[in-house]
Amino acid sequence: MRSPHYRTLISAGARFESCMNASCVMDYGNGKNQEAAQAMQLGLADLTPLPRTGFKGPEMVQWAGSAGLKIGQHNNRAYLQEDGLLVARLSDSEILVLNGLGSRLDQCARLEEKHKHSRPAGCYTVPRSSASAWLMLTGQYSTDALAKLCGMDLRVKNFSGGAIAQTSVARTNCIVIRNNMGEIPAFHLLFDCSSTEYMWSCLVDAGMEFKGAPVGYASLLDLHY
Amino acid sequence: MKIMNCPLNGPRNISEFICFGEVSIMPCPQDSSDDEWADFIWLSNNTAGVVREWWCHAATSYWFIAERNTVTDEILATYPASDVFTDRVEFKHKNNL
Repeated sequence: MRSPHYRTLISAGARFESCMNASCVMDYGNGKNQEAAQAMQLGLADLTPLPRTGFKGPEMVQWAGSAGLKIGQHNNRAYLQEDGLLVARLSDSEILVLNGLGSRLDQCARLEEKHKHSRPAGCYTVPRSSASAWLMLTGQYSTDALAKLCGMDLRVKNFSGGAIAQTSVARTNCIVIRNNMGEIPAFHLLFDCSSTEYMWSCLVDAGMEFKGAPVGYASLLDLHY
Repeated sequence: MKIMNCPLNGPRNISEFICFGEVSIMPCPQDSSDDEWADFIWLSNNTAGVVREWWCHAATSYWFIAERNTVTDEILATYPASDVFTDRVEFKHKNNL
């Protein structure tokens, strides 16, 4: 698997590595320290090749509990699991599951397979990997850059860690999840994969004011741990 | 900016929503006449005043019901459709079809 706009990434200097049967941008050839500094300032990473999945249906909550996922009662909140999975509760009947950053396993596929036969008819999978693109915006200016594209107040005082907004970003339907990396603000952005190139260019354009630039998966791992 | 309160997502710009017209009670598919069914499908009341309407939050495809004054365009209340429609409607084929 590779990102739908891999040609854009190549022209930006992306260096790809195989990661869980996918071709993932590890860095842009700028050196480890420089990319980590970029991610702390304002970085845009394409995580589309990484695993993610979803579950939906009236019996989703009961099934999620039986599958060992710990999710709270509040919608539009993301819950970090002990194994690194990030489970975003989108409604009473739907969750989005993001593979743990840094995990070398396709935890989402394991989750789908492990409980496949115990899953009731009222809980079915949502093919997020093939339907949704996944970008991550990091750094101290990430909130300011998003403010140029999204009408919602995403500042930390009103949108704290784990908060989710299902809203419009650059006029595109988007799921925004705040998932700070320590003290560094960070947002997951998931949206229809057919808009990947458009959304990427909008975010790059919005970030130019704050000296933003693309960063690779490796720099996120450096900040994450 | 006009703000609408989504029962699932909270206050949002009205541009994130789509109106799908008035809420009307579906006649029984088995027992209704053609005229009753055509009225349900094609005709609207176009009330001047407070109406109940179907709305959808486009970013989440979440459908809900809003009470709106069509004269002042004031949104009075929004709530989940499950507050009104508590039973699932099953469609059965007519024996003579």
